[in-house]
Amino acid sequence: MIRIVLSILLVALLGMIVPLPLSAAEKGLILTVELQLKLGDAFLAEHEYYRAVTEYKKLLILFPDSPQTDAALFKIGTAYVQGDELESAARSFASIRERYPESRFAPQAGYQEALCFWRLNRFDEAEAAFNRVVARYPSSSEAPRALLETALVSFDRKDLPAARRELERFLESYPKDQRVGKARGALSLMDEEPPRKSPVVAGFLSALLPGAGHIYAGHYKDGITSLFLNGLFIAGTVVALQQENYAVAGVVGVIGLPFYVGNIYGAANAATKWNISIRRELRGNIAVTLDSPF
Amino acid sequence: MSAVAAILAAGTLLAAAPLQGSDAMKGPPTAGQHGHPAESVPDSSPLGVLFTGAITFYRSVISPTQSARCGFSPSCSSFGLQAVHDHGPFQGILMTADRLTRCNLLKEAGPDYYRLPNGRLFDPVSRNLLTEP
Repeated sequence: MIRIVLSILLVALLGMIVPLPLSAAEKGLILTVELQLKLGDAFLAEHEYYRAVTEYKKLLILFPDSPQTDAALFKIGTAYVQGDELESAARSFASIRERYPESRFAPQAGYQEALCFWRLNRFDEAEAAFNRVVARYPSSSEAPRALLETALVSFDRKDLPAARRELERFLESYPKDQRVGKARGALSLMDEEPPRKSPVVAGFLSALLPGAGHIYAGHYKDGITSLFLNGLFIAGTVVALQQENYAVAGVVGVIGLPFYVGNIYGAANAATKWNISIRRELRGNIAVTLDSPF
Repeated sequence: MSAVAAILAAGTLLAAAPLQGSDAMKGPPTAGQHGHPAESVPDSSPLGVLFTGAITFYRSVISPTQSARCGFSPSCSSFGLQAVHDHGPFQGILMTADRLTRCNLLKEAGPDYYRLPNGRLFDPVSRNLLTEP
């Protein structure tokens, strides 16, 4: 009996002295801020954006007073951006701005918030967000970038003078910035309003001569097709009328009429497309010059 | 009256392109583009009914006898149905006539259209509205 008791005590003592190797799971994990961030980062690296957001949100719930909450909010925004949930991303970045205005993430969050609105084509909000970054954090690295982006936002709003003003503001505010040359290059691209073709003139020309409006708008192949097609319908109708074959003239005329009016519509459409493509090309050149993300 | 209707139907039949049933779904989704909207909410005006009826007839009876030939996405017939549905019969028919004029061997990818992975040129109704974004 004594032997048994001694054996049990010996085993217990050994167990205390020599701990058995345990896996992490057996040890029982203690949730820490760092661990939560690590989990979120791991999911983010795996492009599991929504799971990453969940982990970062857990951090906010479990450790609301942690000094890492601004980091978690920023990472939530980043994950939403990568998951194309721009509205949610903007909200997350905005909460950093509102709750932690002195955070090291605040300027970048403000800049990212503006980019989200820009991608959502909400130009007013994008411009306001960029301006907030410039006003609140003028010495941050995001401020000059925000000013340059504001110029492009103004261009997207078709406000060329405002775009120029923003670039000039950049040159005045940050004369020693390394992007001064780029800003000057963009300014020179904006020297003149991009050329335009009038949809009204195009339509009028095509009414006079089918296809002429397309050619005016630079859509030569469509112009030739339209001239040929409408020429056939008009010639067919005229010949049928000359031969007093009114039924045939009626059929050909009725079929041809939508094509004739459609040719006028198409010419105006071609001019509109020409204007869009010229503007898009100019915008692309300005964006490349300014190293803009969009 | 029935003769006039027949003439109009013949005209609208010409305005229909080969059937490509699911093409509208293959392109990037755009506002108001949902395949065959005219089938779900038919246009109630006589011209609209005639036009969409002619295209539907073309798509269900004539087109299946040919291979798909339209190089655009959505196809001209899908485009016509959607144009009439979204913008009424008058503008819809004009847009369809314009599209049919452009749907020829000379068309190519460029600033106006980009080529989709299926080889067709993307030209939705929303890009032919005479409005600049």
